[in-house]
Amino acid sequence: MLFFIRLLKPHARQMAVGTGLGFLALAAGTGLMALAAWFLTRAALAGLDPATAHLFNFFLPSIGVRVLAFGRTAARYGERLACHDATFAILASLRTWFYRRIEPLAPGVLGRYRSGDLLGRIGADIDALDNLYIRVVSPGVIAVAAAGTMGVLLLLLDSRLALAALGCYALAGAGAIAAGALGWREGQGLVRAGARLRTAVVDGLEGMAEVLVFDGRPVFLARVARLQDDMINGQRRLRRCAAAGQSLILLWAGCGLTTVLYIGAGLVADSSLGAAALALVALAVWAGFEAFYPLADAAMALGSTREAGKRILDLAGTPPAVCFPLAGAPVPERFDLEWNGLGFAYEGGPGTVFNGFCLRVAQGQKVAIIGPSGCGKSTLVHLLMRFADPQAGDIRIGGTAIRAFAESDLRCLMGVLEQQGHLFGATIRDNLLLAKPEAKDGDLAEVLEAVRLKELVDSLPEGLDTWIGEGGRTLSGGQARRLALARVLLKDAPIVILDEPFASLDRATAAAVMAAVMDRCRDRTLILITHQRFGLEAMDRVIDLDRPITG
Amino acid sequence: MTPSPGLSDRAALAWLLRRGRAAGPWIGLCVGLGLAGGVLLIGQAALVAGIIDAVAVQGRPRNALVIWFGGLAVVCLVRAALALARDAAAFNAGAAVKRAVRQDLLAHLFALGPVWVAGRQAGALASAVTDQVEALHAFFSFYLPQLALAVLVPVAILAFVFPLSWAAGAVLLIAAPLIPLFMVLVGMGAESVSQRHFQTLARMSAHFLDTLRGLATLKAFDRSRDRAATVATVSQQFRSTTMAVLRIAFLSAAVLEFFSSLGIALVAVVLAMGFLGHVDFGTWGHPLTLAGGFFILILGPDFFQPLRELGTHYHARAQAIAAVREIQTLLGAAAPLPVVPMVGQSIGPGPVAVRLQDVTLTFDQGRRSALDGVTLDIDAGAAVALVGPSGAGKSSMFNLIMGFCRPDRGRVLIGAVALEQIDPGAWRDRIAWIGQNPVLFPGTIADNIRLARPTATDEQVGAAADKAGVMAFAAAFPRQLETVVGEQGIGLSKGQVQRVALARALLKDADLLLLDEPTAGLDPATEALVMASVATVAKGRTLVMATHRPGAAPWVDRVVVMEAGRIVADQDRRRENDTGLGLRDET
Repeated sequence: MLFFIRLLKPHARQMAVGTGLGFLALAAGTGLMALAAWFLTRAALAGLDPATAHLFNFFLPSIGVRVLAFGRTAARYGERLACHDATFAILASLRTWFYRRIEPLAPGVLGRYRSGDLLGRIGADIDALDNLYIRVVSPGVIAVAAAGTMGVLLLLLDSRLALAALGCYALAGAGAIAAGALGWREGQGLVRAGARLRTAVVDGLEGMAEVLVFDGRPVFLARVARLQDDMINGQRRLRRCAAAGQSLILLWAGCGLTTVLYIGAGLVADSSLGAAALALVALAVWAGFEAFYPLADAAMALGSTREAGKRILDLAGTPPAVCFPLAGAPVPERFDLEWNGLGFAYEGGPGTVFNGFCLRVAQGQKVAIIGPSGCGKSTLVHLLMRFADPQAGDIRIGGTAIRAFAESDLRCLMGVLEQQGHLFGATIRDNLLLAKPEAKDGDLAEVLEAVRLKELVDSLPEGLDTWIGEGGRTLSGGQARRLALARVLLKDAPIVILDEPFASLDRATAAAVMAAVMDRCRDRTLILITHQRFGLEAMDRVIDLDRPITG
Repeated sequence: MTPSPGLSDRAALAWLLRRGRAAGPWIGLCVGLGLAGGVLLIGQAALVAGIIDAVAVQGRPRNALVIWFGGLAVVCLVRAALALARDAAAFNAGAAVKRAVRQDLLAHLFALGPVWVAGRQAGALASAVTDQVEALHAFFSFYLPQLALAVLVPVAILAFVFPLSWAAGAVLLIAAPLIPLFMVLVGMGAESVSQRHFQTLARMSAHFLDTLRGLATLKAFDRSRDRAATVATVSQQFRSTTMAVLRIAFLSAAVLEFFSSLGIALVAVVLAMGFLGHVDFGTWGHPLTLAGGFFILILGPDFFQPLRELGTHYHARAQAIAAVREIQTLLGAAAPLPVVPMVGQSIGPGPVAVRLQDVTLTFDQGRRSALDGVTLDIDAGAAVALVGPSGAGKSSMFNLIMGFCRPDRGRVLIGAVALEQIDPGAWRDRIAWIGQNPVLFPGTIADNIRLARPTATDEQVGAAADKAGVMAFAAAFPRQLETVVGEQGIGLSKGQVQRVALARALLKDADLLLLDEPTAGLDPATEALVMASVATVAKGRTLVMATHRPGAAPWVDRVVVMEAGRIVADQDRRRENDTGLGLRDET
């Protein structure tokens, strides 16, 4: 709760404007119906006698209804704009806040979320928090304000009228909220039912040959049908909750109208209420129920927002796995690499990755590290980058333990092509400039030439400014890999580490790229990690991790 | 049928309406209930107007109006109940279509077969079966019934308003110039607002997710900390561009709102002028009572309400059309074997002979060749090893024999019968197969083995598990063969999965064994155990086994060497004198 308040507080003014306009739109709509009813009744009563008909001030109310009609439209338009603007503002600060909290945790904590769609889940949670204001806070405040205003105005006329109207409003609101809350619970189950159905379908599609050969089709189809029925039944219950919410409001609106008319008729009979006022009150109370329709959705959204908030707070509160000193050791003169008696196992992982691992790579050496997948090649890189710290032993650069360097200093020493090096949904230029923001177009052309991408980029109508899509999905696997490699080559780091640079490249391209890499890394330390036997002849040393090096 | 990625809106709508016939009664019921609700609404307006008139003009005491009040309460109650019932009917309409389409889609995917499916992403196909089908729901539940009601309810209201005052009716009609025109306006407005809004939000979420995904890369380039500022600026940029778009997009919604508000205001003014005698037209000669005027006024908002609701459901139409395009692409793909063969020929019991006659098979519309003119006769009861590098065409041969794909040229014969003349189900009953990436289904190890023969006893399952080397690892599990595997259970290594799949194949009492690298990933000791079991089981059956190491199965009758989709060597081990590689080029 506190978290929500902190989150929304900086935007209080914008939110107030949006909600205020929403209230005005509702008030104008209600006022329009009420004034029109009053006007009509007064006109009809006055019209009974030609004398009073001529005295009747026709112009004020006739202008009034038109003003309210315009006002309602304008206020509604303003509300939509203001509410969306406030939502975008909240969203911007929420994302920035979350990013600042999560940045020190990466990739250790986030690494777990990389595979599968758990990362998507974080995104969905953030999106759910975005909606807090527009779906929960604003409609809630408007409903309460509407009921309150109506209550006060009615109290000025008669307490029984006020009581009846407020009672029906409260019941309608409570009904909608209860239905929404029930619906949220159903929605939770529905998410699980949907996931089960999807899993079953994926299982069946991936194992279709097995299903067909082993005559499992009827069993599979029956299973899918059952899971589908589960899901449809869940959806039906959810829908029923939503419909019950709407019907309850409809019911209490009718009740409110009937009661107010009944009480009002009594008041008119003993002349404590004008006949036209009765018409006004009845239609005002009735039109006011409009404020309660969004409450069912608000209750539903509140449920999911609370859950999302809890998960996001949990994640943001995780202590980082690795801490860097603020004032680091001076950057060394030489860049010899040493792994001394390294011991490492992933937290909760299947077993020890390294146990007493030792290795020395002198500055300028070209070393290949090979071995089957899963033997710890990529872990070696992660430890060097301090994405995790070893449980035993240490890693040194130029004799200084890497734990002693400030984060920026350590990063400057290494150019790393990760196995899953990420290309951003941006232009080719932006992706490259990540490595060296001050690079000129000439530098970019040079590295693109080195990875044999220059021809391709030149052929694109927008050249370097071509948008490559999220994760570089407009590029082929080999092109994406080479672009990521170009980015690493652009960075002037004394130590270059390439994790599977030749994956999804054909032989000829790989050979050309390898030659360019060797050329550019002539004076640098190069560590090449690969499970292929490709390019090893150019290396000074080849280290096979499959044959354990210990002690 | 051709794949139809560019199915037109009209064709997609026609498809939707055709599929919707199954839900016809529910949609009819839904519209009927909605219309009944509309009629009750008119009744409710008449009651309220009558009460106001009786109290204000006639000065009648409220006790004389008890029946009116009671009637009003009842009408309100029935309206609420009708709304509930209408919603339930609407839900059933969507559910009926969803169920049928999902069933058809799955059946069709199975007809397309595993080879076709393997060429696509399982996730994308599953999304078509789940999400895309789900997107049809709102079209049938909300959009279609509301489309009818958006015409019927306003017409019903006008039918009551016009006899009372044609002037007020005319105002309502002018405010909604022509209902269809208005609907186009509503549709475009709602569509552009909601879609643009969601698109922008989605783009923004995607950008943020992209940043999170690339966080490790950002760190590697020491750009992760200053990225927080970028996140902020990008969000702000999105905010200003989106607001510029929304300012225009919200206008169309405002236009609808404006017309409906102004309509109500003008109706009030026109009626009041009539009461005051400022105008004396529009009422067919006999003056309007307060009840009549009030009745019209109350119905004003309800005249416009169905149109506004249609606007909120309009995006369901666009979503359904997009979903139909996806679904139709799948349903339009042609199956490799006719689902029901023309002549369901049966093949005799006992081991079967398999012949490939000059078979050519390509993928990607002929661009990639898998088998290139292969002729191979496998005698009934023979044990044949297929050897060759990966990509030589061994798995393709299995897929052909199982009928998962059809040759571009040449024939596959089972005994003397062409494969496409045999009922696929009956044929697959005769086969036991294990693929290179065997799949286990959620359940216990025993469940997975028993898949091959649901009637097998525990002893038979145990024996098969023993033979395939499953017990060698399962004995260490507390629940042994009753251990749950898969998502909720323990994860087995690839070699372990391989052995469970093998046990499954061994348990099936099949006439033809197709084993694709059954010992890949097994250590030499287990491999020897497994191969010995295969040798025993293969007696009296036809066996075709792809393997890297034919030396591990010295008992096979024949070793066929494949390379690049062709048979390059065929060695018959039964012929004592034929010691060297009996090279025989196939043409």
